[in-house]
Amino acid sequence: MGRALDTRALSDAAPTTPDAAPPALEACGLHVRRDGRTLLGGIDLVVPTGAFLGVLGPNGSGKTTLLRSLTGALALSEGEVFIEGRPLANSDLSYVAQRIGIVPQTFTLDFKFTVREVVALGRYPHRRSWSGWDSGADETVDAALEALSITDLADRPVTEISGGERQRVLIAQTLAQDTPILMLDEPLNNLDLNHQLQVMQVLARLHAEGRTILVVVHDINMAAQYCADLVLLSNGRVAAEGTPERILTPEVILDVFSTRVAVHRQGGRPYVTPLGLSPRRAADGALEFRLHLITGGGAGADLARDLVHLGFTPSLGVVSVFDTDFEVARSLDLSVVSAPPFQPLTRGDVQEHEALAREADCVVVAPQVYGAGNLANLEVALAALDAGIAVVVVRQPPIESRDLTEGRATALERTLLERGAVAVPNAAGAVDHVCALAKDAAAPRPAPGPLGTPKEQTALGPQPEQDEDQGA
Amino acid sequence: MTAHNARQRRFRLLMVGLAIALVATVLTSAMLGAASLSPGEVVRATVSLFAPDRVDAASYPSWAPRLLRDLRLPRIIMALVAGLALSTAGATLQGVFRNPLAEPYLLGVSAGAAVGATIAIIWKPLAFLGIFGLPVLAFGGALLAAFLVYRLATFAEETSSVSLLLSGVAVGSTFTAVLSLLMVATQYDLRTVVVWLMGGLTTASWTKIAVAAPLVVAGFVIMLAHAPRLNLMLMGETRAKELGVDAHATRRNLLVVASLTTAGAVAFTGLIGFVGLMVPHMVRLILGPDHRHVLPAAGLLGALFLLLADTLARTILDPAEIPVGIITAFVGGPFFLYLLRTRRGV
Repeated sequence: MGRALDTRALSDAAPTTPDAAPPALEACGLHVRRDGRTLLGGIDLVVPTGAFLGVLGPNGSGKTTLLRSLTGALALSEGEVFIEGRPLANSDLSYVAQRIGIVPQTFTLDFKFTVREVVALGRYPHRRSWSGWDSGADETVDAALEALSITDLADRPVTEISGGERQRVLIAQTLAQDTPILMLDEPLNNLDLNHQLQVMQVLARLHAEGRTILVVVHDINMAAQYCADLVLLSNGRVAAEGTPERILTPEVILDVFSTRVAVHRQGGRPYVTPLGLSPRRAADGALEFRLHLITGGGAGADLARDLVHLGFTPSLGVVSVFDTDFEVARSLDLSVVSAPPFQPLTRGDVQEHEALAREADCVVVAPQVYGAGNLANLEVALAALDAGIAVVVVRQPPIESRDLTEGRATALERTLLERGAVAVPNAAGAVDHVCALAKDAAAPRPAPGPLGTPKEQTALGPQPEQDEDQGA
Repeated sequence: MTAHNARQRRFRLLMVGLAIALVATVLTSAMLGAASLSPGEVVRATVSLFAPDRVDAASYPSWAPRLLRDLRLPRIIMALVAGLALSTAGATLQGVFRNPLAEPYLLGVSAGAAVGATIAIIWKPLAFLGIFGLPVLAFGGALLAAFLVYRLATFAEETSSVSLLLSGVAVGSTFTAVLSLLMVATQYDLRTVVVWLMGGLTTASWTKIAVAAPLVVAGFVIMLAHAPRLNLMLMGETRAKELGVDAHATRRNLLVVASLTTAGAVAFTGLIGFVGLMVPHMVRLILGPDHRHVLPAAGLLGALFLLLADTLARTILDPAEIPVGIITAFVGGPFFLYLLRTRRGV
């Protein structure tokens, strides 16, 4: 981030990179402060010619402010903007309007211009000094109307069309401006899905023609599908920039949007799915803490949801396909060892399950009903415990009422507890205990070398509730 | 395409129609009065003013050329100039404020001009300015009022009708109060001032026309040159800037020019209201809001309208005469109410 600033400090002259033509847009150390509030806190951004850059960020992160300051609509407190190498500050409005077309979020027009007349207003920067009375006959205007499918509306008064149609008129007006650089501030507002796609496709086509496009988008997936590069803003700063593949990770999105998401791939591009409700603030250390939940028959479904909302990403096993736990795991995009329903676990299932459990920093045993088929779940817990992994056992309802194995499950649970597994009365107790473990694992890191793995720290970490719970 | 061409055609048709109507009205107005003339007599007497040898002196009453030269023609031309000035100033103010209710009279711009003009009339030290004192001070007053209203009525680029009208009423009343104070304090001939305030073309003269007409015509030309920019300003100053219009300069220039033409009219005709409100509105109904069409058409229609109103004013109660401002207010008041009730997308 600092690199652009450094080179600028060395050479005050035109910001040409040594090897090529100057980038379409370059922002150096943009600060915008208003009434003591910092709207932009030092943004460096290079938008190469021909880029298709999406700007993402939560409300109030400075997206619109950034766009407005890149065009000189907003006075900068500090920093400088270059358009194709020319300082924006020295450029006059009509030059800028010939280079950059802007689609603002809204526009008001209470006068009864026809749609065509409004679109034709976009030709203003290109008009000759006195273009006479006739500005409506213009191929560029026709093409812009065509591109947004509003040719049919051309003769309608702009005061009598819908919000979505007005939005498309505004975009068409900017297309009629015919600029090499386009900036769009949430152009998909008010649009139906089909028109959203249409607009993004128009942008993709303009991009293919070699134009430079900077677009603020609310919809992360729309941005991921179409934009070649993304910039994530957070609190007036660049939180991440790069290709969608590189920066759209659950970690970055949680960081910027405070929302837990799952990221899939779709057509080679990342596809982001929010996971349920927005989380309470992630518990300390929850993101890095690896958790495995042994469950089945829906016994751990609520627990899994609670943990996810606290920022954990538990794995689940062994879960029968179609049971509640399985559905929950799927909807929360958790990794899961699954088995066909109503059949005993196979050797392979158990091995896979054990491997997953051994990856974890902590294993939680949900109060499931044990039968011959899933008794191996408890054995996996025991194996994990023996491997030095913290194991938490939820004890209510009592194991006796859930034991269909003539006491074998009860005996196994007793063994677990005797060997140091932590007993908690219910799901809430389990959550509290896991949070404490995660916090301890995250907090004291005197020597954060690669050797100090969280697993060891967890195993050695204090387990404050142990005595109390065992006494109960 | 079709609607656009239709609007082009309608514009040309309207301009031609207005020009014909204007000529006819000028002729009619010149005929009417205490002593009536026939159309032929008007034409021949007028021609004789320029080329006495070309027409037979017996074909018109001997007093006709002097009557036309000293009374009727100056009055007609002043009406045309003032009508052009007020209607184009109205159209321009409506564009700058993005509000079809803006109008020199309603915004107090006319009152500002009147205060300036009154000061020029009654303050003796200014006498050295001669006839130019009137428009110069009227311009100063109009400009002050226009910028006051702009400052008061516009928040964050938005000018709501309520704030616009309230500011206009406030500024206008203040200036009118100043005006009354000036009159009482100086014991100026009240009747003259009151009649002047009600708006009248009775005192029109060639000298006044020689001062007012260049101001108004110059203002009109500048407005026309700004018409494309004014169209973009209708989308808000931010959007206008994004499309390359220096919105600040445009707004400033247009407020100055609208004040100038208003002052040019008010200084010599007094307060004539509602012309700037009705005329642009009617033109927009026919032609749409494009200022490249609205300004010329409103100029013609305004000239025609004020001439009709004045002809009516001096003939309806013959031999008595009503100030033309009363006629325009009679028509304009109800029209204003109608606009207030129905305005949406003009």
